[in-house]
Amino acid sequence: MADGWVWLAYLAGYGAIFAYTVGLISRFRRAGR
Amino acid sequence: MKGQSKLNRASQWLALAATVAVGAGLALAFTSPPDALQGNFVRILYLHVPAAWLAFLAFGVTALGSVLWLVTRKPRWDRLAHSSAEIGVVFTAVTLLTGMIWGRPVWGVFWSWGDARMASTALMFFIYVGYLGLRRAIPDPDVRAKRSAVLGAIAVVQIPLVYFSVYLWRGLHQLPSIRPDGPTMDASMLTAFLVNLVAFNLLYVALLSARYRLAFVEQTQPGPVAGTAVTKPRLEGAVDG
Amino acid sequence: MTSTRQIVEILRRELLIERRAGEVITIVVPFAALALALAPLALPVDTDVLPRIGPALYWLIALLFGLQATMRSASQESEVSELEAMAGVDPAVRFAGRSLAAAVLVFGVLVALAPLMVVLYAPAPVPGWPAIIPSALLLAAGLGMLGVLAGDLTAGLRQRSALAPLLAVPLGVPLLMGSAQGFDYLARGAGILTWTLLLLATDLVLAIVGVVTARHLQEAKL
Repeated sequence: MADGWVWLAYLAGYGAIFAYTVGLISRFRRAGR
Repeated sequence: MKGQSKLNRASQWLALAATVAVGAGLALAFTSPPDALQGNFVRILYLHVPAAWLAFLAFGVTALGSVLWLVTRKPRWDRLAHSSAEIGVVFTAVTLLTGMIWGRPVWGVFWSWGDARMASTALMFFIYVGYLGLRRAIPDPDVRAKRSAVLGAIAVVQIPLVYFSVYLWRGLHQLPSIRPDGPTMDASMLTAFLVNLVAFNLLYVALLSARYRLAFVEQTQPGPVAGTAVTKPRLEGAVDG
Repeated sequence: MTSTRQIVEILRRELLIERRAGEVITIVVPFAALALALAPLALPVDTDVLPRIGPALYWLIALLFGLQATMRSASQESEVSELEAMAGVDPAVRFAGRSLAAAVLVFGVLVALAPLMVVLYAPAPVPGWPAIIPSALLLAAGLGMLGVLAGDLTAGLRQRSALAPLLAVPLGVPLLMGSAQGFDYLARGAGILTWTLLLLATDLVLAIVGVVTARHLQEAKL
């Protein structure tokens, strides 16, 4: 249980950053068309 | 023009460096020893604290860009302000999420109003959202730059007051300190913390440079003439005029 | 015409518009009163928290609806501002005049709602409550300036009615806390100087920012 919260935090935190980065890349692709 | 949408060399190296640094930070976050008081939960702070620092840094850059735009009227400052705001809102969300997830096991509650920093960060989140909402609502780029710059300037002077209000309010309600182990941190924990801090700074600069580039490409690219009405494929048998 | 005369003229004009075609008295105050009246209906009938939360709700509703009172309708805004811009009125003077008018309207809302709150929530009497009046005046001034700024930032936009409060409310938190916490401290017999000074500082900051950015905002009409 102790580690569960830690995993959740990293999933949420890095997940958000990753999602934003992916979004940024797809916006680049769209702009380049 | 396809070539324009790629990042230049420097930005690509920056992205690589950021990725490596974040990877190192992650590794250290999970291999460093647990804290005497908080146990494993201290690992969340290796993510939460750098994110919080960046949330405020990004906000500061937005404010700086806003003021510089008002003074010089150069589009680059508007682009900088906007890009930093978008990245800032992401880091603010990360700060709030990780703060809540840390708070639950350590303090027993997801949210505590006694923490001036979290309350101020939450308010800053709404100010960011408002800034981006305002930009989205204004079609004309000059008006958009002007008004967001003014909002940025207002926000930067009001935010310290917001922070101070909450700080005044919580008064004697002290919560157990976030800093693990008291005044002296274990050397390996300090390393993990510092590496993550550096990694996040690199991440911010990498994302900022990419987002700035995107803003430049989007601004200099003419949109479709007359919108999709002209470019949309027509049904068979459609009559002209 | 000196700046002061101009400010007074703008103040008078704005209040006249309010009297003739305005919505503060006829819509904003009733709506705020309704909000104040509804809150107890959302609580259990035998609850004992009403006397304690009454003042807090009052200040919160004052913030939210006070800002509404400062929003002038879009069409009225642009006609008047074009005339004044042509007449060469200094944007900072316009900001001052309009903020003052907005502050008067907000103070009106505060004055109208206070007896209602006392009646509906029966808070414990606070000896020395007049000490909150300076805070109320500072709150009205702050909300006036904030409302004018938010209104100008969103002038001509379709989303204005939703966007302007979203922008103003977080920035107005020091105003809320200065007045609400100030009143709470007063009720507990503690000093309210710090909170009143917070209100004063916020007002000064808003005034300076408003005057400095007035020129930029008033060019930016859609």
